[in-house]
Amino acid sequence: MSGPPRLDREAALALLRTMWRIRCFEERVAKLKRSLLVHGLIHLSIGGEGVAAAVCGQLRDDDAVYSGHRAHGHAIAKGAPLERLMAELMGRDGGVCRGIGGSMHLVWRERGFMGATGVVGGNLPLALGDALAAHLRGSDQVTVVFFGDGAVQAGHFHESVNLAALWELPLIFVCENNGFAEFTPRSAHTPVERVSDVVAPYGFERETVDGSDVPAVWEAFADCLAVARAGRGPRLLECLTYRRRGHYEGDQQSYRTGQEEEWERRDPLARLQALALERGWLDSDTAHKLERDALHEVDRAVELGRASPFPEPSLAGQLVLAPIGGKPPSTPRGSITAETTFVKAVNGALARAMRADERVIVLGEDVAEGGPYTTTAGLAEEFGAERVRNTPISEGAVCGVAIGAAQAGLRPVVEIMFIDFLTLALDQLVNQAAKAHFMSGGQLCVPMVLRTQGGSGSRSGAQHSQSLEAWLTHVPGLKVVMPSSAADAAALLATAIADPNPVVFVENKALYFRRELAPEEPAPVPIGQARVVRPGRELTIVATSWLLAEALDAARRLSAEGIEAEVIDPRTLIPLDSATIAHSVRRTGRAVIAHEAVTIGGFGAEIAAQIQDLAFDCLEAPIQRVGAPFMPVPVTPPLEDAYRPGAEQVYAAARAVIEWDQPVEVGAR
Amino acid sequence: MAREIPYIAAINEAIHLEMARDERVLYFGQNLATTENDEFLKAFGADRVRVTPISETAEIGMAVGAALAGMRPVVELYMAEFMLVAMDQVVNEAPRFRYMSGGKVKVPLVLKAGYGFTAGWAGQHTGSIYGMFMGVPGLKIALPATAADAKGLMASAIRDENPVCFFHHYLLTLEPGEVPEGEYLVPFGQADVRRAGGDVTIVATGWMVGKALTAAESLSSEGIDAEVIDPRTLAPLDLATIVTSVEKTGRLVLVDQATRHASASAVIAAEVADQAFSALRAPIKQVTALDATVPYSEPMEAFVLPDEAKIAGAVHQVLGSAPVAA
Repeated sequence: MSGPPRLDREAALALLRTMWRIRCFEERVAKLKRSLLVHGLIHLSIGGEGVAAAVCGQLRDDDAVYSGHRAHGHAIAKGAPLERLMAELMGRDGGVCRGIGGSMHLVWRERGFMGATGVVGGNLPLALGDALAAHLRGSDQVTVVFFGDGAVQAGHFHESVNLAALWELPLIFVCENNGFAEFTPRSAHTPVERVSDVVAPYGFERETVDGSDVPAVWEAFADCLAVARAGRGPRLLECLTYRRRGHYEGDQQSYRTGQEEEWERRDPLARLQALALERGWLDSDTAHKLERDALHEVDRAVELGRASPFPEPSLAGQLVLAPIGGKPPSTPRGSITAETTFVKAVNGALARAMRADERVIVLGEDVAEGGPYTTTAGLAEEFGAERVRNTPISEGAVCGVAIGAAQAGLRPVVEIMFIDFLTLALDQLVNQAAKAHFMSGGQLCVPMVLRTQGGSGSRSGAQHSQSLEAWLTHVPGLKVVMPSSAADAAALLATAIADPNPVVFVENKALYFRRELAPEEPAPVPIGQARVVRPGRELTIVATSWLLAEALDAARRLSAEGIEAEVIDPRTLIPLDSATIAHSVRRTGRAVIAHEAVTIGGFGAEIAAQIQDLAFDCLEAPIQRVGAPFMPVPVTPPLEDAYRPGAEQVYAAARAVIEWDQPVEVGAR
Repeated sequence: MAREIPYIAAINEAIHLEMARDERVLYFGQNLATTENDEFLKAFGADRVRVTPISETAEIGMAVGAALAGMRPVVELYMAEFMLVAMDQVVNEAPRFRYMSGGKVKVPLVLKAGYGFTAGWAGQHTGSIYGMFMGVPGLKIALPATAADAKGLMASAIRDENPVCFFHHYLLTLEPGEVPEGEYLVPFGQADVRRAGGDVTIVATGWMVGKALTAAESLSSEGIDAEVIDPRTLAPLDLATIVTSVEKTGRLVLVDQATRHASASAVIAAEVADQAFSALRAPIKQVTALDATVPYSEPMEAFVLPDEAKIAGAVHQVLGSAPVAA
């Protein structure tokens, strides 16, 4: 190496070309927004073109870029075609995301533009995951994440910076510090002036440059890139930029003054062009031609955008989940059964998946030690610390790592210890994982599994005992699996790992160490198929997870009294096998739904709403729901025992639906 | 005296009045009071009106702590979806302390957030996530549909001794309505029968109330007399008013702007199917958004969201429905 690389004529002209394309594109978008040809929330990056061009211009197509809400420039500089971007902003089928994502959610996967996000700081964990995938593949790919100074005050930033440093990932944090977080000056957000100072304790190289001085950005980034390319840990480049426009188009900016004078000094395009003229890299004719070419290309993009039709509305329903392809995940091998437990079943399924597919990795707190329940015991020994990764207590970032790694082609299984703490990762799960396939118009897939545990009974109180799965079923784009037996756990975990969508796999602590006989290598079970655990004619009991065994207890007691209950375990909540449930209720005319979550707002309401619709004319009694009372989980044993629904409540509900209209002559129907 | 003011002005008026009435009321959030001319800042000063960084977890957590210490914070969150960043504080902290302390402490705070959608806000700024909070014991949920309710429910929320999630719809922001001047309180847990009718009950929340009323008017020209009920708060939920109505009409259509699966309307459907079983003459129908993220493209947005025609269609279905075949 002969010293740091310097910007030369060729590179400067390439930068100017890109910057003109961004500038002309965005100025046109501002006009189109006023005429409503472009709609929605539009955040322009005028003033920041130099950073986009200098950073993305040095990357390869297989390097990944993650951006935030001010993303047009990054997408253009990374190679997304102007006409496809313009069509996207017009909501057309020809858009990069088929008109579904819009300005805040641009994706152009074929050139490594992996996505923009509308949640400030929400992209940082995803970029970590992408960098982890590159690292595990042993490639020299580099990931770049753009963010504004406002994101630095978000928790995701700190979690992500820590993980990047800890794992020495090939990730470059590029902060565009424009001095405003949305509408508020940086001084009102933080006493720390430089973003590069915030990351100082993590010990990686960092630099602050004038973002209007494009050669300085280009040279500083060249330096970062060489280091990251060589696999030597993360870097942070802070670029002090000037935001020419408001936070969004339409922002009146009553909180700002003196923009014109400052723009005179800080327009990166004018400055680079002046420098290029001064150095003789181009003459004024060539300079004008660069602008004219860009304008012409934008004209053409607008024409093509206008000509593109709006997407077929029904596409919205089709893009919620990625289609399942390929062969079933595991092959049944004989019918050797052995005594096992839920924990061993999960452990075995993880080990088999990791043996069969090296893209499968396991992440989570204490997973390399096996975790407190031994669900991951022995995996680190067999597969090594690279694929079985302990994480800090950073649920948000860890979930984001799994999403980013999944988008980059791995099949991560992430454990969030206790569903109570999934609340800390909900933005990543709901706003990123569940929506990525949809918002990218099908370009991205998130084949990840998030394992978590719910359930009461361990005297752990209101923050370690909840059953929150119903929330997740309200989120389009997630699948939710909730097995009640070791055999189903093993089979469904294998299916979940093979699924191209994010799957939340909800385990129950109270089921972990129950002994049962199960096949050593289970036959595959598709997601969305209920199991009729016990046939019966008089009533249908739908029970999930821990309540299944309780329901079976109640059914045995009812049977002794001459009432035969059909017991169904849905096994997966999304998609729900409504057909099997409705078919049963149409036969029995009576239904009880049992789960451990609170009755009000629990998933039973959804099942009941579906049954009353699908089996209305056959219902002979009101559907009864058995769940927890509407209160936090108590910690003291007598109260927790009273709180927790069980066989007794299922039995009482069953008697109530049987006796609703008449004293039943048992067994006589 | 009532006069017409926009929905958002009604909310601001309630916060303003409560801050004047009770100095323990604090107001903070992102981008709040970005200029010195801000009316709250001028009236109550920078100690009580605070701009915060983009740190939702700390904002809500700080409010919980301040409430525990005797204050009555109102947190401005702008967009409901960003509550997901701080869901731990909303679910594991705010509604838990009173219970976990055996009733020794209380957490009077208001989390104020916009929801719904407005053209082109796409997938991450449109979340109608209020239904998720129905399963959280200890939280109250207000969902005003009119300017008057917005004022009255906000004032009640601030005076409540518990954490309240107050959701206002983006598209109602500038909607004017008659609002009483001065102190005005709307109690929680009291539904409003917005239109009386005997043929079918329509329960709608937030922005959907106006749509339901429009649909009801057009149905009345066909001789169908719909009763329209706005629960106004989802927790507590005034189920009695809904059940009484269904006992009269025998038919129920639920209108909810959120995605259907495990929605607030599913919760109501399950309750009514149980409590009004004998009165129901047709299956309860839900008119909700398609189970999909809100798309950016305008024609798709219309396809995904519920509207007057879909409401009227569901009413026809429950009125005309022969028992559903297997």
